[in-house]
Amino acid sequence: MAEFRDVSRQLDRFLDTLDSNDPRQAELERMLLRMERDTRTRQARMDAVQHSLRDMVASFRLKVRQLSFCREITDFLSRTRSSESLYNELPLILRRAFGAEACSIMILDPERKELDYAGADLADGRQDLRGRPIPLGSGVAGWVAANGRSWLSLDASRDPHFNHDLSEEIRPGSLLCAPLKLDRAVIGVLNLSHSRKACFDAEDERLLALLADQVAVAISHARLSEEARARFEEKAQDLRRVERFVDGILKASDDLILVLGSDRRVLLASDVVEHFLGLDRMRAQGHRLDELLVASEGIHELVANLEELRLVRDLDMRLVHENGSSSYVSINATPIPGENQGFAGFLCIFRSIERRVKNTDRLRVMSRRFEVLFQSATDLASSLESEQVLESVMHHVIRLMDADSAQIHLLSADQKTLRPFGAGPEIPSLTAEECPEGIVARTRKPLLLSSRASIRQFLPNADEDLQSRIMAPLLVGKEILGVLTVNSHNRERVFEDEELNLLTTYVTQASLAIQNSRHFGEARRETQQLGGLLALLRDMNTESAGEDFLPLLLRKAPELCEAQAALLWRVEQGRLLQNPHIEKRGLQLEAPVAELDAEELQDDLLGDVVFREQPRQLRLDDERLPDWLPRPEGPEGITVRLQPLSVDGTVVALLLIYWEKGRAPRQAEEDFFSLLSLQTASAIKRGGLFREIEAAREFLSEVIRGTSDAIIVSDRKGCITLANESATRMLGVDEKQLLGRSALSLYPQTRELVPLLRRSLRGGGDHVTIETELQGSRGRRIPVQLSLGWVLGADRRITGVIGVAKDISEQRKLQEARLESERLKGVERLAVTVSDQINTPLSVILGHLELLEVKTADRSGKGMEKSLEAISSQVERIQGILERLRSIKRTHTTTYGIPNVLMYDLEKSSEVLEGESLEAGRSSRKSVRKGGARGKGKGGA
Amino acid sequence: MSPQLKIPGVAGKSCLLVDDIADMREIMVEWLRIYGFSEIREAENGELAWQAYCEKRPDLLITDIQMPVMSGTELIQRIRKDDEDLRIVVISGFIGEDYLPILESHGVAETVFKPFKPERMQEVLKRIFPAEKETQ
Repeated sequence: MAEFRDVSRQLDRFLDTLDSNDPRQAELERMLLRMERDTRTRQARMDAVQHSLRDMVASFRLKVRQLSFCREITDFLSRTRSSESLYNELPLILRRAFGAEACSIMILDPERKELDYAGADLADGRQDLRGRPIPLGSGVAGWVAANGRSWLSLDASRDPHFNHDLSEEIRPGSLLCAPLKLDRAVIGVLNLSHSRKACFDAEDERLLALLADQVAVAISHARLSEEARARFEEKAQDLRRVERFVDGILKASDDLILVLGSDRRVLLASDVVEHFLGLDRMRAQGHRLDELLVASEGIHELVANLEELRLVRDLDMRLVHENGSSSYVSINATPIPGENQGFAGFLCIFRSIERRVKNTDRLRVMSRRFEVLFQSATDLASSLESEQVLESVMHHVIRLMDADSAQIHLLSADQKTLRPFGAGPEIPSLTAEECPEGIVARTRKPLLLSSRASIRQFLPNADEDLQSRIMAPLLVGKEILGVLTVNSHNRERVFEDEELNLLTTYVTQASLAIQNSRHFGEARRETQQLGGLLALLRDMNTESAGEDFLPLLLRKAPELCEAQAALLWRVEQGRLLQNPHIEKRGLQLEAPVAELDAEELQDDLLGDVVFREQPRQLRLDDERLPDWLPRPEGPEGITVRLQPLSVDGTVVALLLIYWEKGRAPRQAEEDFFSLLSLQTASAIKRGGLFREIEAAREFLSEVIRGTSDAIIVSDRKGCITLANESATRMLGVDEKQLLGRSALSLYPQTRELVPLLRRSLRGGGDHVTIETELQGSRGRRIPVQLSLGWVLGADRRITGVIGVAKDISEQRKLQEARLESERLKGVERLAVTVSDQINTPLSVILGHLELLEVKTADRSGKGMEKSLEAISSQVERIQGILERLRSIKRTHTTTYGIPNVLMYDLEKSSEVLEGESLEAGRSSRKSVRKGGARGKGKGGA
Repeated sequence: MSPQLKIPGVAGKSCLLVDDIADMREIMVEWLRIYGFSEIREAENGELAWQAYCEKRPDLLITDIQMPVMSGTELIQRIRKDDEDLRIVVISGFIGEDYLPILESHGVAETVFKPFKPERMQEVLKRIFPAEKETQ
């Protein structure tokens, strides 16, 4: 219209510009004016049409809008599967679609017969009525629900169905309510309301009723959908449980489970697929079965069965692992049914029959092992030789462990070295690198190398074909004897952990046997040594041994001590004499030929041995050892013992014993050397004694034979058992007449003899010596000095009596002559004594007498009295001497002062009267002058 | 005292008398003085005599044989090592004949056997110590 008015105004302005005078223009003006009128008419028509069209358009727009809402609602309903969503969102859509102020959905509870607000949408300011159930038949909604018909209330305040009690606060103007029916059953109602009256028309009612049907279907669908979803969820959960269960089975199963598709590709695989085939599950899945098991035995038979959809029951197969190892399985396979009586795939279960095989094998192995153990125990119990035991152990352990080889390393005495029994390298140190035996010996724990990797780690130089090795310590209590090694070169035979126990058990048995054999060996060796030693000592103990046994000692000593060589030096005054004797037993030994003087050498070692008798034991590796010490050529680590052999503190020989490396003298041998040293002295002494005894025996025989004394021996009964020639000669009878005769018959003075013998017996068996007589032939009696002694047996008991009778006929004569001589000597001594003792006083007397004569001639008389007194004194002295001579009880002699001239000491020879002093007689001149007691001079009393 | 008892040769001589008997030494001293010795010393055994000898050498030694401590024989042997010329007279109660040569070998001038009279000693001394006139 605006355009039309603009055009009209432009036309008016154009007409104003026309010149009415101009016909053409006037014509044009008229034509234009007609055209304007026509146009105005058409314009009016157009306006009417336009108005009508506008109404129609408005109506169409409303319809379109409604349809649009309907479509929206339909779309909403078609896509909504949730009743909750439907209840929450639908009221808003309906309210907007119908221009209502409130919309609600009420659902009938058939049990309670009440309508519950399921959802509502309210314009601002409208009161929410949700939560209030409406009884069936009450109010508009209740009426609609009860009657199943829609209801349009243009003025609700005047509507008789309107329940003012229920909707007192609402007071709506218009109400439109439609039932939700499903299969003619009301399940609820839709309510629309507006505060303006007559807001809804019949068209709205018809449309709402139409929508209500769809809503009811949608609610039904939502409900079904929810039920289905709930069921689906339930099923899904079940499925997940099943999935987890299946997964658990696949993971936990010892059996290999493969689920195959119809094309026999692996859909599922249990975890043990890696154990059996070396592939993890993910790698295994997707492979075709025949590809997966291409290397396994029996795959073709299995595939053939599957192709023909046959059940497979207990089909045995050998599965081959990626690493080449294999395992035995028993297969059960079954087709999985699919749709339309088809099949979806296969379920294959591979059950390991290793255990079965192993159990069978194990029984067999156990049986064999038991047999081996029994045989081994029997062998070891009957084997005493160390070498025999070791060989037996190796033989049986190879069988017991189903091994290819075995080796025993024995720990050296110094606990540092492991030496192989038989061939093989020595392990010089327990801490040596690449030495698992050393580890085992140190830790005393077995070691299992069950893979090439571990073998390469511990034994980088081991043979490539060595597959497995066990090393176990040979232990008795805490004592380690060595290490037992068992090897397998067979790929199929790899030692397992559990076999450690078996080997450890066996090794315990073997260790005991080895130690017993060692003890036996040592005992036997010691017995042999002892036997040898006893033999040597016996040889040394022969009475005539002397120093002759030294060569024998040199020959025997290395043999007894298991030594390799020995050398014997004779020693004299600290000098090692030249050319010592050498006994070689496997060692090349040379000794210096020249003599060695220990003092000149000034060598501490030689000094200790030769001068201080100290045995020494050395290792020849020591470079500080002196040059004189002989060293064998060749092997190293030789031990030498320098054993001095001495007699009474003087070394007479030096014995050198050489042992191979690692062999040191044992305690028994140490004892042997000590004993040897003692025996040397003893033997040498005994040799000397023997020679002396032999000489003495010969001498005695000569004495017995040649003696002039009669020797007669009788037994315990007194019967004569031996008589020498002198006895027969002395008695004048022959030997036969004497033997067996009673010895007492030879002694006529039995009364004297028997008590003496008894006293001797009581006194402990002293010899009895008596001068008596023997009864000779024809009544002749021979004076004899008889010595009787007791003959003792080895048990110190008396076995007889030996009598030695010396004919003293001549002796008695000599004795008498000697007595006569003694008497003469006494006379001589007496004469000397008398001469000495008396001649002096006489000289004094004579001197005084002469003096008296002189003085008498001088008639002086001076000193006469003194001379007379002296004479008197000397006379008294002579009387005293004579008194002494008479009182001699025993003779005490003294030298006279001249060689070979004796005299009696009268002071000692005579009794001394109490109170007398011999010195009194030796009065000094002074005492004489004083006129006191006169000295009695020599022997004076 | 009678002049004929004097021994001219001993005049001015000294004598050492050794005897263990005091009475014997006493009577001998009396007589030796009579004989004319100018000095007479005495000792009762060989040991004391040796000391006296060492103190002063005498012209004559008269000694007994049997004495305690040191015998006359030992004394003679010891003195002889010092003086081979000393005149020595032995007086003794008993000396065997076989021992006399031994005493002589020791330079003993005379042996006088006890008991003896003083004139026996006088003879001996005269022989040992002759008078100068007689000698001439």
